[in-house]
Amino acid sequence: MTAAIGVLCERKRVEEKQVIQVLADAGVPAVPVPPAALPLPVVPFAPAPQVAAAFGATMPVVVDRCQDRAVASAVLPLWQGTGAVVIGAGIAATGNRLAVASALSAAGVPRPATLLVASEEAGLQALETLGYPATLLPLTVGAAPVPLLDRDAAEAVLEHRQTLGGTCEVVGLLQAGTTIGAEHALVIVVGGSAVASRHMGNETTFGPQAVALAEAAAKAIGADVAGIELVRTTAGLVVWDVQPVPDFRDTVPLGDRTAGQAIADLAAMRLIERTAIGASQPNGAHLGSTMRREVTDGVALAL
Amino acid sequence: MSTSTNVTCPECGGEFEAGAVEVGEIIVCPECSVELEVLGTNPINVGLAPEEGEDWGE
Repeated sequence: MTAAIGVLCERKRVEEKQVIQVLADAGVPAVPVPPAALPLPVVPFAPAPQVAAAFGATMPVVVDRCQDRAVASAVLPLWQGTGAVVIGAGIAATGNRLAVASALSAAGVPRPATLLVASEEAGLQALETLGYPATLLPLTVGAAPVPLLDRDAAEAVLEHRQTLGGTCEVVGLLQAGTTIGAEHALVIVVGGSAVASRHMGNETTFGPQAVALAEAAAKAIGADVAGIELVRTTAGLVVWDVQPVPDFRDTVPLGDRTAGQAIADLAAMRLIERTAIGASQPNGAHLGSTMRREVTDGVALAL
Repeated sequence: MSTSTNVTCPECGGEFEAGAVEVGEIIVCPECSVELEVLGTNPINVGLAPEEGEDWGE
């Protein structure tokens, strides 16, 4: 049975195309895997044959490129249950923004002043402490942040969310400040190294400090791949937010590889590692020696 | 109504022939299946179609 890298995505966007193309050029089979296409049994289970039947290949390695984070957080643990190595954003892949912020804070990564709020009243009270402007970040990773420029806006937003959406929509993180008009950049970290970046707001002057901070943030959340949003505040450079599946089509490489190439290289290396281990495991998919040599050659070329 | 025009999908980068379309029309990219809204026809301009959802008044 053929072993392939699964790219978990609803559709092949520019980013997913780049990753799959780099892998194909290196001789590594990669296939898009619609994350919500199949009903999946609850763990523990060993669905390698089911996966192979559905997609025509075993999936020892899965790259998380799922835009719908609710779907991703549900299916990623099941993919891991198949024995697959999931390349993703660590805590940010399946956890919420509170878990991410807590992990960053525990690791000493600088962040804006932040308070968790679970009601309109608590939100307004928090804003008296944090001041204006501030930003509401819904707990779901990737959900759009809401800038709160003054008390009127804050009252309107929090009341609407609580009244129309219920308590689940008002629970969130309130962060001091806003990205509007700020130096704001996205740094793509792959395999522990910052590989690309792009400006998200005003022109940034971030340098080595930003690279180090982004890499520290990715390490703190255990991410193989993540987009780390950095903002310069009056207190200095901080990690504003984490994007678990960042767009990187408009990023500028920091070295000699694009973000897509870096992700593909990491996936190929994990495939080699996984299949080398899997060859001695009953449920592990493994590559034949010819394919393994081709993959190794491909990775060497890609690197 | 516009004449047939090539469209580049902003989601996947794929190119396809949109045919005769009108502003506001929703078309589907044949390559990635994303829904696109026609924003202009001369020249043709498309963007990702807005997803239905609650904005909580924001």
